[in-house]
Amino acid sequence: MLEVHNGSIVVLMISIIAIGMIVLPSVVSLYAGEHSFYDIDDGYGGRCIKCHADIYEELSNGANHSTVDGSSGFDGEECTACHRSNVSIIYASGSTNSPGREAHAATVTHCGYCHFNSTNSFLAPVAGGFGQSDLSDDTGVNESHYKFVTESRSSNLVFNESESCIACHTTCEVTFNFNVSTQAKVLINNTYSGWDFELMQLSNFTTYTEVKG
Amino acid sequence: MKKDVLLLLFIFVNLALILITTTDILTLFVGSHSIVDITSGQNDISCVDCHQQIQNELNDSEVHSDLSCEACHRFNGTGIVFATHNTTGVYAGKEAHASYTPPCLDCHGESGVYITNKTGVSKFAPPAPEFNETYGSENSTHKVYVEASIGYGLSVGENEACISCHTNYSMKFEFKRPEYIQYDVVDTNSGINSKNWEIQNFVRASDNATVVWVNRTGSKHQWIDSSDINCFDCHSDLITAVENGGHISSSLDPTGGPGNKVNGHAGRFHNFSRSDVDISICEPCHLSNSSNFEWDHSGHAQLDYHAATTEHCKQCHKYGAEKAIDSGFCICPCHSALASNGNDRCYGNSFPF
Repeated sequence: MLEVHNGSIVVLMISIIAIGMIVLPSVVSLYAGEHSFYDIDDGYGGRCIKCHADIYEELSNGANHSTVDGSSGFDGEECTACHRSNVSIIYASGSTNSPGREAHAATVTHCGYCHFNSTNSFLAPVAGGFGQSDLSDDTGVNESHYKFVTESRSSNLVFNESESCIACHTTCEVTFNFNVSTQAKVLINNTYSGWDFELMQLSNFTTYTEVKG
Repeated sequence: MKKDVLLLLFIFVNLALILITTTDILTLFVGSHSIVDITSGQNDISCVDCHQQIQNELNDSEVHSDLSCEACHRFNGTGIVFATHNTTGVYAGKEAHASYTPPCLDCHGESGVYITNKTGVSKFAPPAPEFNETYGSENSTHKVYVEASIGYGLSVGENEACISCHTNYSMKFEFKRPEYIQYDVVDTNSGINSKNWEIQNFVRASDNATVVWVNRTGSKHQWIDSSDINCFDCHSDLITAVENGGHISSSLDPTGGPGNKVNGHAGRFHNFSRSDVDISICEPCHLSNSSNFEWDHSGHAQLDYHAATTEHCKQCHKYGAEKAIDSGFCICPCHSALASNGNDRCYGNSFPF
């Protein structure tokens, strides 16, 4: 009985191998599809999603930016709206059949490119109140997070001020180490003219961590 | 053996599935393209997500624990235009985007304001008496501190001064005073019955520094109820001074008569126990409103102050109090000499107290 069973398996394997030899091409491409070119004459469509599916998923689950491509709903064209929006850069274009100069497919953009620009072509609302936009009455003189925005510009994590925007306006996890003073020292001098408050210094700094998840 | 083969097979299949389904390009900042919806009309971006520590402090606060972050940090009584995105549209901020650091007096200045708390109840923010535009009387003790706070630049407005007394933020005060003064009272008239007293050889000794450490939790968002503010937290050195016979002139007048001067000035209101010092001994001079001096309200009584007044002798002994012995102000020769040249103080311009 056992011998019969083993014999059947051997026959099955030989059959499968034989079929495989007939069906499979003799030359196997390592990178299947590499000679199947996209037609980009009408734009990129959702091609970015091929590599950046996770970004697309985030975007499509988010609240905004669904219409930046000029149509409602997410279809992947939204990527190019932001990442090919810099008017000072010439991107490679299939529709105009022109090569790129400063960039080929896409550039890293920053939130302020649109949101600090009141004439942006997407009608994106201006993030006023930081003194960073082109609105004449945007002074930002009272904004608590002003330093966060301006300091973000000198950080290399994300382009320009985007670190600060992302921290509040997206679900990105951010870890803050707040270094705060817990004490102030005041020097008071009893002079001939009365009490003179000469100095006030912050001291006893301590660091605590906040994780925004 | 068979189980091991099956297990290996299972692992290989799973690895293969992971390889197939996993994106080769990983995003460094996961979630950075997932935008928060801020259209509800409320603040959809939780301040506490990044500032949980502040919320914890606020939860333990005697005051303000019923207020939201927005109640203070997006207070709408200042004219500051914050960025707003609600059901009616999108409005760009001007002076601020998300929040501002509020000066305490934005709510507690002038005549106070009403603020809606977390439960929708309108609560009154009482004004800090006299700490408005003029900061009260010249004799309002902490006026100079409040005015100095504006120039420190460590916080906005006068907040440094407010925080010192009204929160659990720790403070370290270093008071520098002259250790003593010394002068000669000289009669420059050779006549027997005619005296001409002069103060000569005035010496202001070198400063003596006293450090008072108000060691609290260090939290700026833990407010202390006004009734729990203790003057001696910052002025504990005065307890020692009073106990040792200093700070205020002593008077023991067993007969009640002004001529019976024992151990210092005559007068009933300077009598207090120097062995059991508490806030009650401060009140007669530093809390005019609550003192029993029976001010005549002639305009000299300091009723426009915040926490305490810095009283000069004349406030009682010339202008203010019916029961204070009206010396005609400084008829005694020493004081007369010190108060010459139109000085209002018993000690003249040469001595600061």
